[in-house]
Amino acid sequence: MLSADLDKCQGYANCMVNAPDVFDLDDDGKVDILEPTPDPGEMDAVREAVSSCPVRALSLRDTP
Amino acid sequence: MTATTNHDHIEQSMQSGWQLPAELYADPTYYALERARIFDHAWQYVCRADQLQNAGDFVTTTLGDTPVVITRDREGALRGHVNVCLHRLHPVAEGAGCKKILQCRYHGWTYGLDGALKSAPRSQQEPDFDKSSMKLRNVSVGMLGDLVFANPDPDAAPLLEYAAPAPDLLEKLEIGLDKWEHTGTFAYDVPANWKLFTENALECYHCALVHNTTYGNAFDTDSESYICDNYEHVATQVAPVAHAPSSEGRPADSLAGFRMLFVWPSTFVSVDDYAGTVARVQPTGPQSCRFVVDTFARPGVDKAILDEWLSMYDATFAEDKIVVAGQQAGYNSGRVAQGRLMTTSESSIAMFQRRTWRAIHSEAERT
Repeated sequence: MLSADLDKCQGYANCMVNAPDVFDLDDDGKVDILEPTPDPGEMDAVREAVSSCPVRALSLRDTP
Repeated sequence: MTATTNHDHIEQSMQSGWQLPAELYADPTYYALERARIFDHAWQYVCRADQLQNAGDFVTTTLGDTPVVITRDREGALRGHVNVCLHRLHPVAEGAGCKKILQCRYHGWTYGLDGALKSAPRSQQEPDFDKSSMKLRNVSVGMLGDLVFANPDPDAAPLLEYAAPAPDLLEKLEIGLDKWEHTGTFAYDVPANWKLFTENALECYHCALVHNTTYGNAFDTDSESYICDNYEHVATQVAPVAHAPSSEGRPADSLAGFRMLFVWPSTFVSVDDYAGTVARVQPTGPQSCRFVVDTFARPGVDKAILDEWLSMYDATFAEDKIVVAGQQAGYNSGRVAQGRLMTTSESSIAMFQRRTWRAIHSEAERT
C-alpha cells in the first residue's frame, strides 16, 4: 500500500519519472498517487520511485 | 569583414554568375551573423512523425545554437520548446523517449509536456514565486509530409507557407517515407563551412568526376538528364537510374530513379527505388559542419540491394567530404574573392546563395 506525506513532498517528480502509471503531480505540484496498490509488475519501478524520493515523502507498506 | 560594404556590387555580380564572397565561408564574424539571422529563424528537420506518435513522446535536437525538445502532449498536440530550464538553464530533456513530464535532472524543476512549470522543489518557501507564469520558451513546429520540422523562432511563418510548394512537389515526385523503415543514422564530420557541404549537394556537375564509381555511376548525371528546379526556399533534383544494383532484375529505364527535395537552409529529403534519406547540415564552427543522415528502406526492398545502395550513398558522402575539405583552404586563402558559377548546371547553388545573402543582409531578418 502506497502513501505520501504531502507536507514533505516538494514536487521533485522522481516518482513520476520512475513509475509514470502509478504517480502523477497535482495542480499544486504535489504527488498524486494514481494506484495505491500497484500491479505486481510495477513493483520494481515503485520501489525505485519510493527510494529515489529526495525528501522521503513516499512509503510502501505490505497490505495487511 | 568587407563584403557588406560592397553590397550592391556583390548583389549585381551574383546576378551575372558570380558567387557569394569567399570571406563568408571563412570569417567567424559571418558565422555569428548566420547563426543569428539564418539558423535562429529557419525551419529545419528534426525527426520522423512516427517518433512523436503517442502522448509523451519527445525528441531533442539542437537547431543552430538553440537546444530544442519537441513533444506530443497529453491532448495530442505537437509542441516545441527551448530545451532549457528556467532555473539554472540546464536541459529539461535528453535524447528521445516517452515521458509524462519533463524533469530537469539538475534541481528537479518539472514541466508538463505543454511546457508549463508543474513543480519546483522548495518553491513554497520562495516569496513571489509565481509558478503559473513560468513556461518553457516556445519554438515553432510544423509537419512536411511524414517529417517534423522546427524553427527556433516562435513567431515564424508556418512551415507550409515557408516551404511552398513543397507538399505538391513531394506528391508529384513521390517523395514519401510513410511505412518506410528507419535503418540507421549516420554522421559525417566535415572540416568545411556548412555552406560548402550544402552547396555541393545542390549540384551534380561534380558527380561524373568525384562520384564516378558511386552516385555518378548509379544515376544518369548528364546535364540533359539531371533535372534541377528551384523555388524560393525549396529546390528539387530528379535523375534516372543509369546502373541498377547488380541483382536488380528490372531494366534501369523501368525504375523511378532519384528524387530529392531541399528546404533552405540545410535540409535534404531523398528517395529512390530502394533507399531514402533525410539529412541536415549542422554548422559546428566557421570552418566545420556535421552532416547527419537518417536512412530508410523502401517497404519490401531486397536486403542485399538495400545494403549495396546504402553503401553507395555512404561512399558518395565520404567523397563529398574530401572535396569540400579541399575547398576550405581555397576559401581561406583570400586570393579568389568570388568564384564563378556554372549557372545552368548549378542553378540551385545560385538559389541557395541568393537566399543566404538576403538572410544575412535583410533588415527584416536582423535580430
